[in-house]
Amino acid sequence: MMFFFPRTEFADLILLHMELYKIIYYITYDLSMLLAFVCTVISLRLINKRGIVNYMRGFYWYGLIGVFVYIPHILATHFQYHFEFAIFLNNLSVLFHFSFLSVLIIRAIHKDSMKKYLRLLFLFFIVAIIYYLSKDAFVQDSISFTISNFGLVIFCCFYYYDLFTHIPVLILKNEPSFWIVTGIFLSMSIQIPFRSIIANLQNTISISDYILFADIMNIAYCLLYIFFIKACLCCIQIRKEP
Amino acid sequence: MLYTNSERTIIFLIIAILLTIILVGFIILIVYKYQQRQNIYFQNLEKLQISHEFDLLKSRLEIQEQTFQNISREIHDNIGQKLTLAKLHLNTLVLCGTTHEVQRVNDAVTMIGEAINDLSDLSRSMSSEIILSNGLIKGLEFEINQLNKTGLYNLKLLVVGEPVFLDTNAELILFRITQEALNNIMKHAGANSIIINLLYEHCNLTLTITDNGRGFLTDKHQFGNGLINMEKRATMLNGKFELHSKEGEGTSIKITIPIYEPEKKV
Repeated sequence: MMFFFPRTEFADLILLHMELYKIIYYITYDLSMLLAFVCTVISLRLINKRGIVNYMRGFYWYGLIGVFVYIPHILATHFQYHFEFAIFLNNLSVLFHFSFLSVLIIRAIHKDSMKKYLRLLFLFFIVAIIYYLSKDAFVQDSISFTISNFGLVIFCCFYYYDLFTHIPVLILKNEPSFWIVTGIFLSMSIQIPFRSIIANLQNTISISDYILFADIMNIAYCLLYIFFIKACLCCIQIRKEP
Repeated sequence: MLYTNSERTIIFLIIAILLTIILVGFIILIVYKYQQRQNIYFQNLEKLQISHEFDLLKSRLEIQEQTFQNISREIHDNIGQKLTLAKLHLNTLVLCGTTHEVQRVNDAVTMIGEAINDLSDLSRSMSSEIILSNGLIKGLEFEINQLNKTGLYNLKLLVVGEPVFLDTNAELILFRITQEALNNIMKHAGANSIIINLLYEHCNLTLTITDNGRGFLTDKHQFGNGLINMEKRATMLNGKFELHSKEGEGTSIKITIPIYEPEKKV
């Protein structure tokens, strides 16, 4: 294995990197929060609007409930304000995040036979998430997050399968479900390896790696919200068409 | 082997970037494949629609042809027979009235005779018999003679190339298109000279009907039923329908159809 930097400068570099990662972390974190806020505001425009596809009805709840998690999380991240409470909320939010998005995917799928199996799978993942969350809800639980991400990726794969077995009449660039599922698929798939590493090697990875992972996951969340915004805009556009 | 922090960082970054690239590639592949599938689906749908339209048009033409046959037979067998009988009765009358009355009976006999001839022509024109037994050229010659007899029009039939017998249905459709075109000319064009041109080429037959009438602006959206029917019939023969017209410069209708497996005309 070749060395990328001279060994003598390691200590300084690690500190320098950590500072850099922290800055990147705050930037990516704030950006993801900002995008989440924009997504919530845009999704609110879908309330009581006619001509919206069924699975997008009530999508604004994802953002609205998200706000109750984000605010304590932002306060905890920037000001260490009620840190434990923020982690507790964040842990609970994974349950909502998983169930809300997986139900949305199930509703967007056309095949009834497939929906039946996905409901069973949904129950299995919910039980698994609750089991790991119940161990200690006040400590950041990466296993439940990993399970949630993994479950959502599986649901996305089923959606893509359904897309190819159903009559190909959808215009993908105007299809909200496609944007939502693609956002979830990209974001969750990027997160899975790093969440798995955190979940399994929590005690062996360094702080700098930990912050790097957090940066990557923040970027993944940014991607997720960008795709969600696009999906909401698709809905608004479809509604505007005569 | 243990890695240093920096090395690990770079490895993780590379993993993240590679993973992102693979995932984005996967999404692009999905979109591309879906688009491909969608294109094939719409192409098939279009083919199905065209085929359905053809079937519909074919049925309509068959019904129309059947109606023509029935009317033609009715004219020939029923009305024609009755008029012939009436003429015969009038001819066998022993006239003992005044000269004026005799003249009126003779006029009536002449008129009935003319009516019988007109009806006979109409019957032949409606019947597909002439096409079935004598072919398109004879059918068109008959139609042209009919119109020339009126003295209102000067019609010419030009046949270029070596004529071939087409499929009977194809010839019948071309004949009906010509009839429709002539009917349109008589109703709207105010023309006095009409040229029908049949050009037999190696693999195409081109039928052109040109008149010296008042012409019109060729806006496809304002095509009447007659023109639309002609176009549809030409499409049914895998042919091409072209219309050229200018106000004051007459109209020309050109139909080009492919000739498959031509038989030499004996």
